[in-house]
Amino acid sequence: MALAGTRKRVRLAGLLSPITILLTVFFIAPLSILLVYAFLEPGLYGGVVWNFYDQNFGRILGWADGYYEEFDPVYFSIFGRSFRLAITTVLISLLLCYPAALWVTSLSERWRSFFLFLITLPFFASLVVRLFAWVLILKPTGWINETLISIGMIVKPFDMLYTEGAVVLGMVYVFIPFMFLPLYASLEKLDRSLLEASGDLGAGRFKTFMRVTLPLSVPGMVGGSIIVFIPSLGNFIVPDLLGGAKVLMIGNLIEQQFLEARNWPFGSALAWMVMVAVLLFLLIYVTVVNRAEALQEQ
Amino acid sequence: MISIRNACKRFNTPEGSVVHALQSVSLEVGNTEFITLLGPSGCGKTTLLRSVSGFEDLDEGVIDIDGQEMTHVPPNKRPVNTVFQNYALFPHLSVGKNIGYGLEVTGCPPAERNQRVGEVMELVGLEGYERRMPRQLSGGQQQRVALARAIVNRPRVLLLDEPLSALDRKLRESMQLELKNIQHELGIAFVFVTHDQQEALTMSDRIVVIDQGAVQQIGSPTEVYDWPASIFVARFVGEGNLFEGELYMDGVTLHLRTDQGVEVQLSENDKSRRSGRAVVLIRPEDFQLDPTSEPIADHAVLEAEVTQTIFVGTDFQIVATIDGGLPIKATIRDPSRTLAREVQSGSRIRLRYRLDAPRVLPPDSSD
Amino acid sequence: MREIFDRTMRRASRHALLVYSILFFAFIYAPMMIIIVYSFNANPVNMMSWSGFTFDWYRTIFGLGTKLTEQTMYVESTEQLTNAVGHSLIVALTTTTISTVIGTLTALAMARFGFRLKTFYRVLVFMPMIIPDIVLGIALLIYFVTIGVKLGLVTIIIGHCTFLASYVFIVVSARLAGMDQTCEEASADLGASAYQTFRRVTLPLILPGVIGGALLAFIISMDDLVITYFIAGVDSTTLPVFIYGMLRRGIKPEINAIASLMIFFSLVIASLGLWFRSRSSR
Repeated sequence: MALAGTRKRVRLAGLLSPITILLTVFFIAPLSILLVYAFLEPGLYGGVVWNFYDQNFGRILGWADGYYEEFDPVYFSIFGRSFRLAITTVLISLLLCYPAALWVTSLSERWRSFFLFLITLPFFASLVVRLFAWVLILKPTGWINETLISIGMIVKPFDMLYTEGAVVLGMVYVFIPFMFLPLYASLEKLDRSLLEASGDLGAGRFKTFMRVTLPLSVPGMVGGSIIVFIPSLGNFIVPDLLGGAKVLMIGNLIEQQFLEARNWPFGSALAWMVMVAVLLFLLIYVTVVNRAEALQEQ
Repeated sequence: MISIRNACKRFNTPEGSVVHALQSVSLEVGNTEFITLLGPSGCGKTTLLRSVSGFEDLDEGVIDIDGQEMTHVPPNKRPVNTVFQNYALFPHLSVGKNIGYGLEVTGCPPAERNQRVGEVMELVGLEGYERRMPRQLSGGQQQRVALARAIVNRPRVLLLDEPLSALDRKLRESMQLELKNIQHELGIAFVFVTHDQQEALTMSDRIVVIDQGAVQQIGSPTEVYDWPASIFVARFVGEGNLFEGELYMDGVTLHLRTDQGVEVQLSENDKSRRSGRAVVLIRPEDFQLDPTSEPIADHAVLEAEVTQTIFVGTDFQIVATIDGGLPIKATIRDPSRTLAREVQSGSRIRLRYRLDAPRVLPPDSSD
Repeated sequence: MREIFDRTMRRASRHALLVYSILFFAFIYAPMMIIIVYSFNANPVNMMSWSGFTFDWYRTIFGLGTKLTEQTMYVESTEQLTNAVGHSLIVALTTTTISTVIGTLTALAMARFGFRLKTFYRVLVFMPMIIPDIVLGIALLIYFVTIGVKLGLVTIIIGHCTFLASYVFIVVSARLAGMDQTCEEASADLGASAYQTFRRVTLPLILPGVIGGALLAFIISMDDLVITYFIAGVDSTTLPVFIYGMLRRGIKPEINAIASLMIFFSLVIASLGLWFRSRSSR
């Protein structure tokens, strides 16, 4: 017992130690320091003063003393906009992907894998490049405006870039594979015979969809939504390129604290708030999925 | 060859309870013996086999192989090899590479390796399949590869974990004979695990009947069949009619009065008790139909009403009810194929048996 | 009557679904097509107004002579671009190697051993993929600055490994789950040491998963912008960060050409990966 047990333990320790070291030193430790920073006082010229300081959160949440730090509702509104844009992104990509995913599941094996390949392919192309494409399309001298002007539909170019719409469009475009794949997976698992049974029982196509397909694809919808929501909420690349200075999201705010304002403690506080929001949503996801699974087992 | 003493193994279930997979199992396996571990699934026979091969670590007890203690020696350093239930052939290696694997990893020079691989392939009848991949073979052929791979290292003991369970009946029966022959040719011990009592009776020199982690009986096939040590063995090996009741002596003959009130006569022997609660076993084939009512010396008769008859080729099976509602099964040789006409559901029959055929077993302690 | 109505509705809805799906996939591919087409546009003033075919933008990025006048040369220097590509490759190759090894070892530990902290480890390994990349980026930035590590290629490599090991873990775990464990027992039974079993049985059998994971890690590492953006030093810019910087300073025609090349190469890598997968699953 002892001998074989020791051998096993040594082997296990050998296999696990690299990831343990990697994640302790370069993941847990950085996140802990981030948390510590969120409660430190910002130095005058960047840097930090090692004092306990709750004013970083005070600035955002409202208990700032108004002397050193001021409560500014603008942070609330930026948070609000981030949530609004992230949720809009989720809903639009869900609506866009659902019919297409449904269509792909109805194809033959070969065509299904072909369209799955098509949907994953953009994921391999650079994110910046894909966003850049939309800059070219949306900007005042961009493809849409030039085309519309050249065929005489409009005289003056539209303002499409640097709007909330452009930011949502960009996020939807980049995160579409993340929504499509979980949706497809849950729709594909759907038992065909279930749909046929429903049809046999006299339910029309619409009814079958509402009563069978839709409820059973809820886990895929929720999964895809979470996977799209998380990177949307903290995003700063998309709002930076397509939203400019007009459409600030939390990501931009955090980035500014680090690379322009050099107020690291405040940036850390903002980052922790994003993280807590994300973890909350994940918790909801896990609960929903567990409940759905429990329902299906019944 | 193998000596197992007081082997104990416990498992913790996910629910938090403890399962005793092996409870103080002791067993000796001879040099060229074909020994079978027989029992229902989950009885511990596979655990016992895996502790011999080294994949399970005993909590208590000692395992010696070839006079050397092996209890905690890792699997790769034990002079035993295994034929796995699902064959576990390496899917990425050809048949030849699969068979030569054991020689290759133990550093056997290529020339000798090729020769030995050729030899065992011939032995198991796989000549010409060297280059094939496992997935290109039939189930029976895969089984042969698994066997060849396990014997090429010339183990002192070959362990076989239900190797024939995936084959169809015909193939299984021919493989049973072939395995026996191969064992004979190799002159090594085989430890064979199965839940199929027929297989165990056909192939083994000795059978170890295991239930709930404990050895129920060890003996030759005829011993186990003829003199089952417990109700479990009687039920698990072969078929049997079990009558539970009270033993008593009536003059010179021993009787059992079942709880339903049926009198069963039997002769005493040195192995049986004479009084107290007991279970009496009569095998279905111990019965004969007794058309006359003439008493015959050393025989007794049970009268019953037929409820069902089943034709099974050479034999004729009768399910009947003795007065008092006790069901009874009889298997009658019927070479002339006349019984089907004579015996029908509802007809009354007299089942005659020799007085020394019944076996007296201790009552089930768990009841 | 009702039946005809039903059938017509069914056919109509099926056609609507087909038309919609074609538009859906067009929406995904059209923007990239536009980039590629207009990367050959000769108009130096307005990139999106077609005025003739040219290879000049491609020639510019490789530092070859063009018909363009000096004022329309926008790439800071070809050297900067090639440096960025070089950095990206160094980072991606190193990261891929390290994270593939670590992710595979972790997957083996989780699949082949039972231990008390397993649930904890499962959550821990998932965390780097779950938390927003901007949070991980700034956490690493603060950490490296606090402990006094100079930002550069090394910090980028470390940063990428923290989350890419998890991606490799997922891919290899899936492969391990589909693998017959008794093959490893058979190997040990035949006398192979733990190392021999790994080298001759386990590794060949999980290799498609390992290569798949490595490929995924390589692609994500090559494309990572957010984390790299925070922990790259001044002189260790990678390709995505370089392009992002160019975009922030203004849109210039060469970016079209660079972007087209990037699309081209990623498609080649993706196709290679898929080809390999179909070959290994045979």
